[in-house]
Amino acid sequence: MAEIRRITQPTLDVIEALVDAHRRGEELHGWAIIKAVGRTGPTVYNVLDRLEDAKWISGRWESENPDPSRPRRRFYSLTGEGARRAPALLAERRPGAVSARLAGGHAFDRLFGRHVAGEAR
Amino acid sequence: MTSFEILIGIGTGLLINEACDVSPWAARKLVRIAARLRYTDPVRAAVRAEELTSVIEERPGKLLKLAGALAFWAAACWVRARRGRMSTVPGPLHRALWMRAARHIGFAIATGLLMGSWRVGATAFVVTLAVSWRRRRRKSRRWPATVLARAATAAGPDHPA
Repeated sequence: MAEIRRITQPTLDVIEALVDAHRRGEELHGWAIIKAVGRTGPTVYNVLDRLEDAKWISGRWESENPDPSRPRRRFYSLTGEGARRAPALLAERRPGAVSARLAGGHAFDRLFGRHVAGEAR
Repeated sequence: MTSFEILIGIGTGLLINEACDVSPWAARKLVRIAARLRYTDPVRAAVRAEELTSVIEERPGKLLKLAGALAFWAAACWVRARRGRMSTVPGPLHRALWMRAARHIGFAIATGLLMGSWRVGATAFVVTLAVSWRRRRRKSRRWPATVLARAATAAGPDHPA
């Protein structure tokens, strides 16, 4: 079973974004993850490297970009192992985030995440 | 305002405009270089090079693209430098070189302190270094003999013809 070498705050941010996307049945490309977590590109890609090495996520190329003038993007989603272990890791390290998400869904979480997390506790 | 100043103004404007237009192209080149620097696995480097190009393209603004690419490049340089340092420190060759340098410096400091003059110490340092260098050069001149001896051993009776 593959382990993540270091679990930092950016790692948890990226995992949270991917778990959110997984719950909505979506995949995220690199720029979407960078925007979602609000971290720099190199930081996010360091985390993606670690998650890929641990086989928690897998990437797939889109056939072509909807904007033909731009290059194709690579989309990331949680693997079976990642989908099983990432929520558990979030529950362990960020219990507030998980309970908020369970209580109110993604949009509500973004708007009132802290409030709901406080109530859930 | 002189004609020279007008020309300078026009030239600077043109240069800035050109730099803005060139920056997305430079950003694409830079992220490709960054991917090659950052990853030792060539397959992953190729994947990331294409992927980072698309990430840079998604960024709004020409100069922001370049700034983002510079961030990727700086991070890759840092990773590369750290990897290089980690791979050279534990090597026995480096340890031997450091030990040799420490011996020379120690001897020079001890001589200087004993003689009460830093010049004597510096002279001792240079002399010991020169003697050591000369000894190593003499050893290195013997390399043809060493190679011949190894070849003879390899082609000896134990070795299958």
